[in-house]
Amino acid sequence: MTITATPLFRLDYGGKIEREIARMLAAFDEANFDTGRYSRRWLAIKLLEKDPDVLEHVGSMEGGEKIIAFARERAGHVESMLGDDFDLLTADRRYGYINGIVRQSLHRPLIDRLTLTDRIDNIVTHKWLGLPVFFAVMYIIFRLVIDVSAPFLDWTDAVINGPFANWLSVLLDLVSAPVWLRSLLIDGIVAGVGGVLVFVPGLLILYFFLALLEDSGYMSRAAFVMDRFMRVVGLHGKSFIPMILGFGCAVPAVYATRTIASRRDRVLTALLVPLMSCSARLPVYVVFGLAFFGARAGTVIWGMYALGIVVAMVAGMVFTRTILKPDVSSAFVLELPPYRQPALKSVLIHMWENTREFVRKAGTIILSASVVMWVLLNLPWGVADQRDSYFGKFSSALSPIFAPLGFGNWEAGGALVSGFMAKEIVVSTLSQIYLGDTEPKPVESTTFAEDLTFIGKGFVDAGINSGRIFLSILPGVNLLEEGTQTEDTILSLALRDNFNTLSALALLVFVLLYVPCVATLGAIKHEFGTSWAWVSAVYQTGIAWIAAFLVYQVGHLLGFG
Amino acid sequence: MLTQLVTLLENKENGLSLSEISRQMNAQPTAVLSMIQLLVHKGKLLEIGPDNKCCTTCGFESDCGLLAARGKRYICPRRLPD
Repeated sequence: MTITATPLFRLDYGGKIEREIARMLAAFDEANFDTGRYSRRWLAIKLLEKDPDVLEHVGSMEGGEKIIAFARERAGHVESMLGDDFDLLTADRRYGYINGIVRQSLHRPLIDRLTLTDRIDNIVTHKWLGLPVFFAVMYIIFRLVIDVSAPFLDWTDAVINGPFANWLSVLLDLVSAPVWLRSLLIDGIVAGVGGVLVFVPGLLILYFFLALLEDSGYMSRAAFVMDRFMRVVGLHGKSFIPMILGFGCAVPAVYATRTIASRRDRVLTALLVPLMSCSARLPVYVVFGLAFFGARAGTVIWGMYALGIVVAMVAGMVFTRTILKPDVSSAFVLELPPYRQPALKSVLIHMWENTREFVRKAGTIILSASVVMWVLLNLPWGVADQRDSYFGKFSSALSPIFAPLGFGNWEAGGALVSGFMAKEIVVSTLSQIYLGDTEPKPVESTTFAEDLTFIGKGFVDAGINSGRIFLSILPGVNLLEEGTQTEDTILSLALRDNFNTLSALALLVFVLLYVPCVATLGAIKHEFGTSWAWVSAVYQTGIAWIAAFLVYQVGHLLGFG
Repeated sequence: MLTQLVTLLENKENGLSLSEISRQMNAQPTAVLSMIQLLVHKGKLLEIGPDNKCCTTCGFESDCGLLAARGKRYICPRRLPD
């Protein structure tokens, strides 16, 4: 096809380039150069741009070599003047022209403008704001968990120790159960397992908020923010996932270290994971928090979680500089999905699955431990005072170790030893010891219908109170009546007789940091061998003792407690 | 436009991604991409990976998870770290 028509449009390339094009056209005329089917102007531009196809074609034409030499000379002249390749100069003009037309004729939003996700990320993944935002989010969640769940904790406690214990008692009367069976079921299992099940509402709320964070997409931002933090400690960014899992349970968290490539990073992560406060410790925090810190319980519990992270940092830095020196690090790749509105169904499934695991544990490990603990607290058979039982004597022998920490009583020592099986057992053991020691409250005679009404009404009241507390957390809203407080449980009252605020705080610090539970140690042994399991047990117990000692003794010197 | 693009990247120590360039030039990414490709072809710009290395010339580029997740960046050759 021959292009003969005069073009309707001619792009102006600007003075210098246009002059060279004109010179090329003059050179065509002078050499009688026939451009054939090509437009003269187009060919002149292509020759100046040194287009290889055009050069090859023109080179084969008569007089073409001379024209090419002239084009090279003129292009070189322009390039030396304007400091860029000729083809880039012409392309720049074309793009400028196109851009001008687009701006004048087309009005559409830029599809790549900052999205809502980008705007949120600018804050939550900010170099300096990221970490404070993360800690603030965690603080708000723990406040919500503790404050909002408190009425439900009271309700569960009242149901287990009220109607449920009464029904069991009536049932045992009906079958003329022996005294030992009554003691085992009421003082052992109801006190032990019930003492732990009381915290199910708190865990439901905790898992609800964690599911919200996960489903909304914030958790991956938290991982991104914590990556820098991890590197300070000498850990790989991938370690964050096991660390986050550690807030639920350390056992899957230890196995999750398999995703980390380097063995050194895996070992270090597994040693630090148990310092993340697992959900099993939450009942201990809540019992002591509500008993000793009242309205500040949420802050104290958040403080425990924060302390676990800080101690993990320090321990990580020490390990990195001593027995686990860093090797070559690889990049941390993490996809940050856009923020999404969490699906209620998914959040509820997440809540249920995690809480079901806790309840299952209560029905197996804690039930078994409660039975064992009841046996130990009652041997030799018929012992009048639990202190004189085998368990009491063993715990009394251990108590001097804990005396400098402020909780040198045998009950605390015994509970901490039993907590080696699972941390919730600290609460169930304390419940068994203290509740077993208390005189049974006279049982009010109630009908089954009255009990059901009590349970239903208590649940509705708890829901209303939780709603009020939740709304009162919002700035400027106060729906709480003066003096509104959660009720003291029997265990809270007993704890206050045996601990003071400072020793309670020291005990919480000890529970946070001391030897991981047997299942976690088993996982570490399985993954890394016996020696690392021993390292984990020994270093954590050592840190726990020192930290609790400092809390108690320094607090004492400062006049607290 | 090309000069503006090169000037923009001359001042960026760690280069910019396509979306960052198009935002700063207030132009559509598809339009900017053709300019970038021309400049890369001419050697005026270099494609680099998210780790600020010329990993885009690596034989495993098509399989690279890091590149897929974070995308290419573009930098002036003189800005490239040693």
